[in-house]
Amino acid sequence: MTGRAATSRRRGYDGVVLCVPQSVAYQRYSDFGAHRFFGQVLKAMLEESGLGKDRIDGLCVSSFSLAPDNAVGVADQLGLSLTWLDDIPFGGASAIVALRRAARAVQAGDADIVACLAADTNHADSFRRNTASFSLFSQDAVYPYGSGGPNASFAFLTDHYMRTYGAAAEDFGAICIAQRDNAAANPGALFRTPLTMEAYLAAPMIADPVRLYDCVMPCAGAEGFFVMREEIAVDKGFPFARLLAASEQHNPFPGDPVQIRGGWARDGDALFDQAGIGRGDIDFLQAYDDYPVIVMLQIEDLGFCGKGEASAFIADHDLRTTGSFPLNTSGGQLSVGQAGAAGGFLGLVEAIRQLTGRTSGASVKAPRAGLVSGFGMINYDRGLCSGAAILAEA
Amino acid sequence: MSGVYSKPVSGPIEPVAMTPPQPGSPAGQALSARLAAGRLEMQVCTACGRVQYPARELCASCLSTDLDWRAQDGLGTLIATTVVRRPYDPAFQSRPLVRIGLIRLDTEVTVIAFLDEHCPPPRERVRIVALSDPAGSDGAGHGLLVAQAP
Ligand SMILES: [Zn+2]
Repeated sequence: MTGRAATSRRRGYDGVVLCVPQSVAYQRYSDFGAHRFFGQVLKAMLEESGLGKDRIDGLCVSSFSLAPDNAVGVADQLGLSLTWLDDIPFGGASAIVALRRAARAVQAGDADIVACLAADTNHADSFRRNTASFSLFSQDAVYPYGSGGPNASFAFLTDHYMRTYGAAAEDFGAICIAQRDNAAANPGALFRTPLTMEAYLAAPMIADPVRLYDCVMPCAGAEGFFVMREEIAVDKGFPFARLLAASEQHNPFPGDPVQIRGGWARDGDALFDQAGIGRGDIDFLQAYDDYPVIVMLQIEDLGFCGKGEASAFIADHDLRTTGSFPLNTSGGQLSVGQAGAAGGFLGLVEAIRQLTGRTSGASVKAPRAGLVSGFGMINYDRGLCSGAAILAEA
Repeated sequence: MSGVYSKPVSGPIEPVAMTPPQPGSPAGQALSARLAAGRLEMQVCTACGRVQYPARELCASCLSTDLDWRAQDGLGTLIATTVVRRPYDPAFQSRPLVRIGLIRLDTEVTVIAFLDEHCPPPRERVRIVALSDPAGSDGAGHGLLVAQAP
């Protein structure tokens, strides 16, 4: 074993809160750059909170479309003067990692208010170019084999998962359909029309066995929230959520021949130990969902069921926002769209909304705690980065 | 056997250039040149014996930079397959559909390869071979991996 589970010595996140979740409405394409979307989401956060820009002393950004700029270019374009700055380039794991970095900075007194932002634009050819140049290994050993991008990578995972555990196309379809139902009440979702199993199964294959509705729609948009000292949130009257536990893993299982698990399998138990609550106390799961197979891996690896049992778990539970196991309550990326790195923030921002009673779509009934997990960075044949956080009501 | 991977889904076999113009790492280009010459070679660490793929600058196990290119038998097990029906690259969009696979070699490395039309289904034993793309990214030929029946 080259890795290890989260240490039991990990300190809690007392005195740190999450608040002011905001989203910039997604659009399929944009001719503008990522900076514009960063600016729009921060503006919305400042307007909602009444905070001036001069109160923001920390900034953490995630984006695939900032080049040649990085985080300091965002600070310059947004006119921010900062004492703490970070740039998290881990795709779908970025939100959890950003949250962990920001929470410790606030806890240690290095910053009082950190704006955690993710934004991406989407030009006509953006996705192809990002796919072609995603990593050295992608350039050398993946893209030349048909240029299937993440569709092909997840097709391998899905094909192997189905063969190994007997999962059926209908199991993946059940996730897509439930999340589409959840999106119906979310005005920000790109896809809100109900999806039927018949339509799911009849949709064209994109990379067998991955079908059209298994894939997210790349788009432009932004997500953001504040991490700040609890006293500030209380003083200002901001509804907030607490951070009970958080973990991240990078390249946890290099010896696995093919990906059948993510880093959650290594520290799922430690996460709940740190939070001091059990899996039965979780009122919703915001799982990373660029393809339904990875949702199933998260349900298993986080310990809601055993390995290979996600199909049965899904059949036994109602995944809708009002159901027995609310999953991706805003519709997830499968219905809302994937605004690049902001896709990794979608679930966390929605979790803060649910726990502060201010969702723009359907609400989970009186949620007290929720779990958010992230996943990203298929550097070669598997997603290397994963993270998870347990949030609770104030 | 050049080009046998070009029409794995249906239709006759015909040689065709597959590789889109694409930058590569120095190590990746060194590997590609060997494959293009028809030699299935991979990096082997002279310090610890680890075989690795994709090619890299150093041994990911012991961090030694003493890597040798050594011939491989290419034997392994096919883990999963797909057909890329919506390729992102224009170079593939005008071509027949290609079937690709994820293969775990006996040397404990995982490779992605084209599958030729006689490649067995997943869980079966396969052999990967080196193939030269007729055109390649720079006109000088580009090396690729193709999986076939052992
Ligand atoms: Zn070595």
